[in-house]
Amino acid sequence: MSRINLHLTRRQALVGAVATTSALAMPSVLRAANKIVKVGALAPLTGDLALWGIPAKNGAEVWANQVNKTGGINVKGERYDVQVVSFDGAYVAEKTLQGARAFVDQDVKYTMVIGGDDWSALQDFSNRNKMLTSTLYVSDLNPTSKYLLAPVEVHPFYFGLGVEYLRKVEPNLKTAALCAQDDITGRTSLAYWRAGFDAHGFEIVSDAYFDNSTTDFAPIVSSMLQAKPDTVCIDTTYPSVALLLVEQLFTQGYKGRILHAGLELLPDMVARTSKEFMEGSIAFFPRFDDPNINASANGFSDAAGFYKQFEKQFPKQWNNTSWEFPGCLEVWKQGVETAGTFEPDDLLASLKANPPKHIFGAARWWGKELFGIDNALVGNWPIVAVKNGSVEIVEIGDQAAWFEAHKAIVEKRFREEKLMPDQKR
Amino acid sequence: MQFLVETVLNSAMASASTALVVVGLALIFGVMRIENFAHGELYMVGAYATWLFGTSFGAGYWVGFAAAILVTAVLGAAIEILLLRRLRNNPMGALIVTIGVLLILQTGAAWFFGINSNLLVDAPVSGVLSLGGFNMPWHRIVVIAAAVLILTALTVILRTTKFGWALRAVAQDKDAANLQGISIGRISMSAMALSAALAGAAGSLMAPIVRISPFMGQPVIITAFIVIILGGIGSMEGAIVAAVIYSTFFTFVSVYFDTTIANVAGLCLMLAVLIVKPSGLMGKAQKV
Repeated sequence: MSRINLHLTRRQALVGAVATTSALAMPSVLRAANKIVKVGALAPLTGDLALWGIPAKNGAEVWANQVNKTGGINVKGERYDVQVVSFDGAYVAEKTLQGARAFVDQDVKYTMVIGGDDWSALQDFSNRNKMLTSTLYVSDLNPTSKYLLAPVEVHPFYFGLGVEYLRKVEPNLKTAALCAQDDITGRTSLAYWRAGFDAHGFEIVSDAYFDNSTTDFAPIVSSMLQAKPDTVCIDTTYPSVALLLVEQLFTQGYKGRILHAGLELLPDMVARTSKEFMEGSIAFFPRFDDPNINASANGFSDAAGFYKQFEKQFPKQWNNTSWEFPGCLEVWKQGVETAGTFEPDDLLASLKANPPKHIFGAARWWGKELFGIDNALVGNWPIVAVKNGSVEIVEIGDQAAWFEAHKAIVEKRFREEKLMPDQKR
Repeated sequence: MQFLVETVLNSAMASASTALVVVGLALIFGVMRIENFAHGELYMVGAYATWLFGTSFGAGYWVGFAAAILVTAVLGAAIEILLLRRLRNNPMGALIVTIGVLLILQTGAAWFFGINSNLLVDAPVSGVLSLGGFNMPWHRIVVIAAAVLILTALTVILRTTKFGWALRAVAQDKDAANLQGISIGRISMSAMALSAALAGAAGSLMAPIVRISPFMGQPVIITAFIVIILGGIGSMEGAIVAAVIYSTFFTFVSVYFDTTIANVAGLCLMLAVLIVKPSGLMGKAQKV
């Protein structure tokens, strides 16, 4: 074998080393030229609702990585990389507030919360510190929640569409049984379900709340099935509770469709019951590996690509909330780039003047009638049904149009639960 | 009728699992005069042990059940030897220690298993008993049968063995038992192990029915304290009777009203009994 002799002078070696190092370091040097803007995921990362909080935070990180790779956010010609910071609020008021304080100290420009019980701790703090925040619970909005937006999910406003779809595919069903946990999430969403069933000619034959400390769901399901309902709605019960309710429905001999907000633990539900039992169950959260996702989620840049990247970064951790914080960030990004600022008052004014695109297409600001403030970005929303053990998009509906058509019924049902702006304490 | 039968059977299952938990709590109070606030967490450890050994290691439910009893018994004995033995004459200190153990076990479970509450334990006997129009999952019948067997075995041990006599002697009069040559330390450790094993067995039996989480012991311990106050603190017979009364009452109120009302009604029931019989259903009045 011949030997290759390299004859380099010290000068040549030095020049070569500098050139190589510079070439290798170039991308990070270029990236370092971008400024950093921080966004915060203030979500339950422990506790029962970690099942929502962790995928939401992970989704935000995947989104930020993708945005940063393509040049970041453009604010008046200046490029900003997005950095996601997170805090475990554990769905506990004190911890959530502690997280908000930490975010203000870190100069976080936009905070994302799951909403519901954790927002109640934040509102005064948010107003005092102009903390622009997004929630997934539109019912968190109220006349004084000035810096709170519901830019993606206007839970529970898609439930009406689900009942409308059910009526269309099952015209002969007459009765429904409902149950929910006794908290603000359960009460708000059950009120909307009731309105949905009223609007589409169902008789509600069983309607009950259960305490959050409930461990055995057999008596609750027995009580529902005693009324012999044609369909059963288990509301927005928390994922592990929904699993136990579905299992009880199966063991107690229920045969019919199940309606639930998310069916987060569908694989476990199928394992504990059967594909046949779960077939036709209705929910509202598509998977992003759905073949129709890019066409449906046309306000989200490359939803299918986002799903692939998420699976790569967090294998088998995809959940309904994985795309919701990214959806909130998409809306915020559009607003920031249009307004040319991160400052909350100017940004809010710009967002209101130029409604951004919602994840499922065109949308408008709404909410004054029910919540006293137009801070909900309402657009279309998908209805999914279980087919062969997995969810598929079966229809896309207009949430605002459904509400307009059935406004009086919704208001009546909200008033019963003392949820109208003039009734809230 | 079908609804009524199902509700009665659900009440029976709730009574059985509650009885297992409260008998252990009453036992430990009788022997050691300690209100063990960590008892609910021993129930939780039983559920996790069943998942770990039975499901995660793939050994099957009954191996998980045996492991749950063993793990909780060892844990109970360790708590007695390492912590409670030093506080035998300091009931307030012991109470605070049990609260500390509660927090450590909760945090430990969260640390090792996470808090996603998505650990599933399959029932050893799947399927449903369908009889005359009503449906009862087989595992609920297993829970009732297992609880009856365990409590019967416990009664036999307490009434017919030297260990049982010694344990009852310590519960009646610790000093007199000591003068008779009974080792208080050994009996306390055994009582604690037995009490913890009962909680572990209950947690294991309920694991296929409830959601497993680090906090699953909290509602259990609250119910357990209501029941032992109702039955008469320290009375094991009273604890069983009260478990049946409370669980049946709770289940029926849950079914006909809702569980929030059932929680309030359960506390009202306890207050009503205490007004009529301040020492509880089967507790003995003490001179102060």
